[in-house]
Amino acid sequence: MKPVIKKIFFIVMIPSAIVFVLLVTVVIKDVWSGYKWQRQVDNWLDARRKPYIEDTYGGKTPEETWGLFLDALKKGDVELASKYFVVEKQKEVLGDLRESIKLNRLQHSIELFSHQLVKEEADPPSSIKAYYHLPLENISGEREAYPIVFILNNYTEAWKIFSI
Amino acid sequence: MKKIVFCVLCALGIGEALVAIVGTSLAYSPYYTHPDLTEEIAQFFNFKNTHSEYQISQSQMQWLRQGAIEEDDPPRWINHFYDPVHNHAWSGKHFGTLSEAEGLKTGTDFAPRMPLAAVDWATNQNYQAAYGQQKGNQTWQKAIKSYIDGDKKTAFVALGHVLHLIEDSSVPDHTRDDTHAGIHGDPGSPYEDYTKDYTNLHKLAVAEVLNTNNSLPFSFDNLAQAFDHIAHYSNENFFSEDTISNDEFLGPNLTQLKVVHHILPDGTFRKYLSNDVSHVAFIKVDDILTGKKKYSIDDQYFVLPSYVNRLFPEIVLTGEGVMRLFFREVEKYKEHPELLEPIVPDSNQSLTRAIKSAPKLLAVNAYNWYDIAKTHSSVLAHQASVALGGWWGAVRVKLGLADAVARGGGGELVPGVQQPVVSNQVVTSPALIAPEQNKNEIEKRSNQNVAISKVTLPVIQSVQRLDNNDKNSIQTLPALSTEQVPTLIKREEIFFSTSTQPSVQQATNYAGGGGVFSIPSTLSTQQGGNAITSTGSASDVVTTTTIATTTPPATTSVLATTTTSTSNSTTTTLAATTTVAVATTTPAVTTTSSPVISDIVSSTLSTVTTSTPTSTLVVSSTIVMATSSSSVMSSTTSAAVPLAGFVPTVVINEIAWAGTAAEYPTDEWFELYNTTDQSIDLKDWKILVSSTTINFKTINNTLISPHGYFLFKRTRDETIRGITADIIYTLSGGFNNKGEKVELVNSSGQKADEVDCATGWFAGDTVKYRSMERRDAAKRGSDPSNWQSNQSLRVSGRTFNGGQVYGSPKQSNFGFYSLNYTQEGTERILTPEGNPYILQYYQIPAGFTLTIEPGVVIKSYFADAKIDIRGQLKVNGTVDKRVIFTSGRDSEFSASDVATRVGNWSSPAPQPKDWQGLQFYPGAAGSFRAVTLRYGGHAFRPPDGGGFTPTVEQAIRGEQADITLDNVEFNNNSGTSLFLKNASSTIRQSNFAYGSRALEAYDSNLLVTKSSVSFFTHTQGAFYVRGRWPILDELSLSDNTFNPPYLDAVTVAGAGRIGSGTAVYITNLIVPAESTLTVEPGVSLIMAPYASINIQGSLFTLGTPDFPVQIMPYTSSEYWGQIIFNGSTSTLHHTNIQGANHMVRRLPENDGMLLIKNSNFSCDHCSIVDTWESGNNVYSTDSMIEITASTIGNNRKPSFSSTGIRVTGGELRLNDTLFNNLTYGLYGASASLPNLVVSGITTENFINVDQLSEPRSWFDSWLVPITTTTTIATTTTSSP
Repeated sequence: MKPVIKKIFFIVMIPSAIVFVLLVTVVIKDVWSGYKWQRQVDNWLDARRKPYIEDTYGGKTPEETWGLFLDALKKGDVELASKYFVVEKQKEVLGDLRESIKLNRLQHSIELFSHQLVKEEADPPSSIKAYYHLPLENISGEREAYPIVFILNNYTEAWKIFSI
Repeated sequence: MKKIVFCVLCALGIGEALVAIVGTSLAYSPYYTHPDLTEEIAQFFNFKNTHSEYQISQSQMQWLRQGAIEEDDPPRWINHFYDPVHNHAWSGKHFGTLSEAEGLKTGTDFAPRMPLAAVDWATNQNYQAAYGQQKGNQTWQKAIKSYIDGDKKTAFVALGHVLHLIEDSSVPDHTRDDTHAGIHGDPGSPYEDYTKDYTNLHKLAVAEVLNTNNSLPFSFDNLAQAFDHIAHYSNENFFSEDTISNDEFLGPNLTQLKVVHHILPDGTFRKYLSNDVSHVAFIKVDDILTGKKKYSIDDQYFVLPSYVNRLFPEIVLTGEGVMRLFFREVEKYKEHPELLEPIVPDSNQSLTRAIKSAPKLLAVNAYNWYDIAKTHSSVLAHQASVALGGWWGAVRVKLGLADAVARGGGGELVPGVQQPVVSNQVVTSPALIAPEQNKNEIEKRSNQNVAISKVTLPVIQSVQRLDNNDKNSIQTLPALSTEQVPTLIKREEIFFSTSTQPSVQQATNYAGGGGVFSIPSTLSTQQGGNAITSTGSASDVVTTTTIATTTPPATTSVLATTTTSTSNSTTTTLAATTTVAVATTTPAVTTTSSPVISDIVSSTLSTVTTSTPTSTLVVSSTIVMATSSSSVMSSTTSAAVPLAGFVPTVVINEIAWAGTAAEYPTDEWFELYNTTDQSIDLKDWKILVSSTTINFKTINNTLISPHGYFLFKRTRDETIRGITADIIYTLSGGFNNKGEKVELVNSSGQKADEVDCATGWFAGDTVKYRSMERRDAAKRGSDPSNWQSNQSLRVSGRTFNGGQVYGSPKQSNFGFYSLNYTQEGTERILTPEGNPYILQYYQIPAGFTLTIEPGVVIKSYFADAKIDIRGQLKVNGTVDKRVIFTSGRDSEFSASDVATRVGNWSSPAPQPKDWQGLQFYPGAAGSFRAVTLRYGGHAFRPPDGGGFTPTVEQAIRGEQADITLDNVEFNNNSGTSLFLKNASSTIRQSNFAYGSRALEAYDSNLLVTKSSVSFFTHTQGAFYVRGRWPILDELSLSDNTFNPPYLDAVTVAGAGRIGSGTAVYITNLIVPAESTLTVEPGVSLIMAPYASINIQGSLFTLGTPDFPVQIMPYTSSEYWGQIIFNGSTSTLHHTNIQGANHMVRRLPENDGMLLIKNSNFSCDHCSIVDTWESGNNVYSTDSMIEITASTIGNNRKPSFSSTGIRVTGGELRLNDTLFNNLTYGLYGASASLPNLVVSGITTENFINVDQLSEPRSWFDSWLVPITTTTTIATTTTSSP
């Protein structure tokens, strides 16, 4: 190789090679970071999904869920009863159920909850919620609609109680 | 390598998925709601700027949509909040169980900067540029600059970003700093969930409706103004789920919201908070488990549709204003490019840094796993395809992150949603549906796989107002009664009367000598007679004058008629040539006195034919009677013959052929009425309009109940808001305003009814758009006289935009007239035909008169129902037919079905405060005769008061008004029955019962006579007057907590009087100079502690021995002040004055039960006794006093010094007067002893008086009984 060419080779190619190697390193590093991140994301997503995927409590219909909820209450198993609620509300509901026991309201609550659920139709129908109410007689003797809202757990296809 | 690249791309894809996941629920749906709303804005802009060069093309529309979608790329969303009240950005509040700081950290941990308020974010280039990997700088400035530079795509994408921010500034969660994350116990945003579902399933049509309604767009000077407008609108009028309180924001003001009941299909009700225009929240019943009360906006029937129905149009109007502003700014900066800021380039974050940020985004959205896992999987595909192209979409499907199904666009038809029937009183009103004119366009769109959308917006029909004191008191409107089937016309009865007795001329002259002659005792009408002497000489025959009366006799018997059945058709209108033969029986003739009238000579009977369809025929007959000289005919008698042919079953009862308003001429409707006692199924019945069968578009119901109504609405249910249509129909062209023939055909093909208005409608108009109402269901529909224009508004039924409907849809054409709004004509008369009238808020302007006829009943179903009178109100009841103002719960004056509807109140029994009352404003006048007014008195704030003025309860309030009451009964009104201020009122023969006060009058001219007041509870008088002395005559008060009329600081003006026997309680009374007060016998002036009477004019008491006048304290221990005569001329007869001289500050110069200065005073047969502590019974200064046959002193000798009469100057005449239990009988001022004229007084007139006079020598001469009148000259003596 002629010295001039050899000189040009070293002046141009070596820096280029170094830059190339650096770029490749950066890319590999980024890709590796991306891969690791992806696994982190997957794990994170799985952790978030897990309570919902494992949350099998609930019926195929809101009415069925409600019946299961009532059965649990009648047995006095408030922990089980709270499981028929959406995951993020179970703790709060369990607290409320326990408070209702303290306030001596549980039995009365069961009687009220035992009324026939009435489905509410509307336009447009909600994609994720189902609205119902209990027709309860208030202290003035009037029949008032007590709202109950259900939500569908798409992972398990089970209906959960969203609010009462 | 491929695998690595694949993994990298996967990571990117997952990041994008997360973007999609997060973006889905942090605002309006970024994939449907936001772009759809943005498109509506652009479309409305095009409508309003048809000649503008800036009309938005389809491709520009797509760029706007793109920008609207991309603005929700996380973490941009943290800058989408704007609290206009406190002027700050998202703070992390209301994030479930997280604290504010925790919430903020969770949301901003991954963001390049802290959150900005949306109004600032929209124009802050540096901030936006920092979001280099999340679309970077998409500011307002960039949009303008790009447009000017010719890069329309970039410009419209950026503008789409800005419009997204405007749209988010309508979301209450965003303007009330409510995180609505949906995790960590946060309930999320029911409003956003609802709009997401809504726009997922329906195509919006907001722009079209706004354009059809000629809605005026907004105009903004700058972008911040637009943000402020929409953000304030959202913040002040709506709640978010976590901010239903006034802790942070004053609006909506919970204390000013009304609680409304709505009946759900199963008969239960739900309570809503409402502000007259829409529902803002509903009240969850007390939590069953814990008993806590909660509010929520998560209601799909009323609240959320209300929100959408108001916010969506506001967004479009605001957005259109923003777009016009944008193009104005483009023009401005084209001319002045130097004013435009340079565009800040995006900072490029490293790819990996951006990706690393992604997981933290998930922390705010775990709730939506349900959402994204299934429902929005198509969204992910959509997003994927939008973001990275179709290939990426396939990759995502492969990863199981998306379904293969896409929404819309790909040819999938989304069916329309059947309107659910919530209740008979709830209407779904599609504010967003396209109007009739654009029907074809909508149908075209339908063919393009979109569905027509509807938004439920019920109109408040039943309004409940909370009683201030009774939170359980509620009331709702009654159901309206069914129309009573009218009775048939009675046949007339015709009578005979007899003629007068014929006169018989008596022969008075006879030939020959006197004698007796006889005359036949009876003479027939046609016979003559003569007198015959005893010798048989006969006079000329005398004929009677005609007995036939000139008055035609009337017949007494009934004109009986029958119809021949064969000539009648049972179902169809009689043809023109049909004759009806009517047979009659000859009426019997009776007489009441002689002579006998001959038999009826003849009678004629009319034969009637008709060419006009009619339900009755009038048959008449004429009877001729023979008389002696002329035939006298009876008057023609007639009877109406109801034709058996017309047997109404279901009839056309009302037709609103003109529409409901000028803006809604196509909002036609009509109703049917079932005259029978059975339900009738109208399935397969037909309605023909000029031979065209109307098309039933939506059938909600086919059954018409007994005596019930059936409502047809044209095209849409919102034709009449508040009342659901039984059937929605279509009819090309609608009703012709010039007339139509409308036929009702039953399922057997027979015509059930017909209204032939082919040559013109019988009633109704295009001025007020009044409907045509049938008067009588039993009469034929084609009889013009059987129709009337709508007589009055009703409570229920509103036009599309909430205006008044001049009709009575699905209710009786009579009765239940609404008294609401401002009176339209200067003269209006209420007749019993409208009973019961439903009072809401009625106003009579100045110069207008409302006259109420006898028998009218006005009922109120609203706590603040009232009539404001600025003109004149004349209520003219009679003794037999009183006019009644009462509560809706009062079943005593109402149809029975109205009474049954009161069950929705907390109790069925009417109570005080069920309604407000009548309010007379300055210059108004009212006259009430034979009126009953009860259960009123709901609290209100007086009109002249400010925000802190306490509320009052007054059934009738009159301020500077003239009110007369005659035979008026007030019963069970809360507070004060009649309140007057600077008013004039005459009250006669009226009774007030139950309440706090019967009357309260301030500075008013008041005359009360022959009236009673009982069972009032106010401790300061059931009858209270302050300011002007009233004239009270035969006013009876009994069984009140404080019985006597309470006259508080009253002044007599002119000639005042108080009628005999009246007792009044006085705190202070002034009779000024030139005025007179005459007190009649038996009056008691009961004086309040320290009370005084100040006479500068004249006081005349006219007591009698049997009925003296009493001036005394209220209780024996509460002494009152004094009577001051100053420059007065007064005379008291038979008046007992007791227990006074107890002033707040008593000085020697004003010490006296009677203080007389410079006056002429005389009294006879009076007693002036019992002075308070040491004092004078009478203290006279420079006055002429004459006291005759009176008693002065004390009932018991007090321990303190007391003087009967202290005199300075003037003259004192004493006649036969007794002094007892005193220290001094007379006390003269030594410096100026008065002239003293005495008669009939000896030492025996001084009983238990320590010293007869002071100075002693003044009366030395009285130590010897004096039998004659002696005048003692005044001498000056030195003081003792």
